[in-house]
Amino acid sequence: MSRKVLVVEDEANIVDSLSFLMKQAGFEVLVARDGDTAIRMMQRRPADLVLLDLMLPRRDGYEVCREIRSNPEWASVRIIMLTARGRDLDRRKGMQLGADAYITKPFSTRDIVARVQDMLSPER
Amino acid sequence: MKHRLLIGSKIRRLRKRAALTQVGLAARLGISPSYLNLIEHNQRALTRPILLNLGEVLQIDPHALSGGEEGRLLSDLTEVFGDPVFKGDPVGQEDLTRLVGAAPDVAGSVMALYRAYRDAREEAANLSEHLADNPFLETTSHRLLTLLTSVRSFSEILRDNADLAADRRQQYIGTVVSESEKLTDLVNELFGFISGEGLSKQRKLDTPSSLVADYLEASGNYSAELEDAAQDIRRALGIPDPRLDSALIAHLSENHGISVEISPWKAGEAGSHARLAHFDEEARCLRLSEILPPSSRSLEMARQLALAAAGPLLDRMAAPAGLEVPAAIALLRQAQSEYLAAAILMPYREFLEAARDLRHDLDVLQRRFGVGFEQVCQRLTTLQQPGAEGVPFHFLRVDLAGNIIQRRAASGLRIPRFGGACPRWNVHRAFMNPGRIDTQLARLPDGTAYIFLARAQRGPSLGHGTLERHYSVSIGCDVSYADALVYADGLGLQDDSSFTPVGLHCRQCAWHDCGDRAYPSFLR
Repeated sequence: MSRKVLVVEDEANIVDSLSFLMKQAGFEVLVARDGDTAIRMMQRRPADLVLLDLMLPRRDGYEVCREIRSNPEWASVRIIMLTARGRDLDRRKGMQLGADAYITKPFSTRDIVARVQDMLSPER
Repeated sequence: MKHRLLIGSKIRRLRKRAALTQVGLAARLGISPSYLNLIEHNQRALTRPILLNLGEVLQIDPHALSGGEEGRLLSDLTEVFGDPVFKGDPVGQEDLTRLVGAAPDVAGSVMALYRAYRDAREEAANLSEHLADNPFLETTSHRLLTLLTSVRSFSEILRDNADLAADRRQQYIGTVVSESEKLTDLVNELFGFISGEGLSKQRKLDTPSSLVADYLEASGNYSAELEDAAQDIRRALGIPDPRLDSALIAHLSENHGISVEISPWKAGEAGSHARLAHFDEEARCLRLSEILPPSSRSLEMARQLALAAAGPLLDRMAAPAGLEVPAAIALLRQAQSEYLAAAILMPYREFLEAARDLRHDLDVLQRRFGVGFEQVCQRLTTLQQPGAEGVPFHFLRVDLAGNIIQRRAASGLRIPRFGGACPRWNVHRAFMNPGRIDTQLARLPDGTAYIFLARAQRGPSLGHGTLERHYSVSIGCDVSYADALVYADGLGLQDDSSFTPVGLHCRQCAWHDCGDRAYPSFLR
């Protein structure tokens, strides 16, 4: 069974590119355009990894991260935050809230695929 | 002692200026040349008789040789070299003493240079603070990053996937091209801003809500398109009275497949006012929190109806030229969906007639149309249909700190763009009697006079222990319309002393003897 990646991002083009990359890497892709939808989707079909943008309508990325981390059932879910370069405070806050990694925008597609593959590899 | 040691070099300089040799000066002072040499090298202190003689021979005030001036310079330099900027390469006291002694002019220049550096540093800090808070730069950098991310991702996908299907390849190339075009526009806009064009253009520094307020003001606060859409929706609704929530619920369900649910309040929900009304797109369900007051529930249902029935119209209207800031576009769309919702609940003709008949009794208007106080006030500002105009009202909403958080200027009154309004406006004093409508006759320095109505209210309670929102809402119109207002009765319109002298902002206010003045006026 393929692993599930939830892309939480409100920019349509970035969603398209991330979906393409994740599908190509063999993952099942779920998409949420805002924080509220992301949480509801997790409740229905929990993903193995969440690619989480910070600036989202309704609930922002931090709130989504906090909520995922507050649910013990989702303890194994990996979270990669998509942050802006130079926003060290954002990054630190994200890591404190329980994100596993962060990737700065504009990201390298090879890098992002490699990071997701690494985090979801069975050896890990 | 330290200062004394700085004197040697000064004596040497003054001696050379007087074209005297060490031997020559020593002879005139009655001391040996070797002793003078020791003095010039700060190896011997000056005795008082030698000091007085030196003054006479070199024709200077003996006080100039006391070392006080050099001492001050040394103390200033010591402070300067204590600046963290020299942290990596500290300069010792001995070196500074030598510098002041040997080349006091250079030391003075170092001071001047440091002062210039410190001023520039302060200016840069101020500018950086200004830029960090700048909504234009914040929004632009986010858009820039988003576009760059798209362009980079799709370019790399195209590079790494030579076998991509032709249609998909074409689609991705199209995205790269269109995003690059947007990027070019954005970069040009940014260059315009950096070159000073943007800094001088106040528009760019405005907040999204300010941009929306300006846009709505420019369009006269009235929209024929939205009024027509509201009429169509009312007709489709086919109900006599939209106060009946059941009718709205039935219509949403039958015509748009949207269910309405009153959701119970949950601990932890506090703080997020936006979630008191939430549309679950997947379930097509409008969830209204039980905390939301009934009048707000009706408005939210009408807003959902507006979005469902007139979505494309709202999309089109929310993207006017000159309002490219995404946050402003989103805000404008929200404002227009609220306009439409208000027009559904308070149809133009009926509301206008009721307002006239009731002489704008806001409480009765609220009950008649089943809406809140603020909604009635907002709706009144939109009654500007050519040929069927209502009283032109301005509207403002102020928070507890006095910040104007929403403004619609339709009465002719200029409402301040930044910060708060004149403390004499009753929108502020309304906080002292929450829930009560406060009336005020106000006269501006230019002679224009207005009647202001204000009421302070509380946002919906989010449960025990949560922070409540308090704000004050005010509408007003030119005093010439006072007869149309039930609130003007008995205010003494004919008596000049009934009018409170008010201004817009202290800086631009000519009521110089005002006891409430917070800042001096520019006008004097």
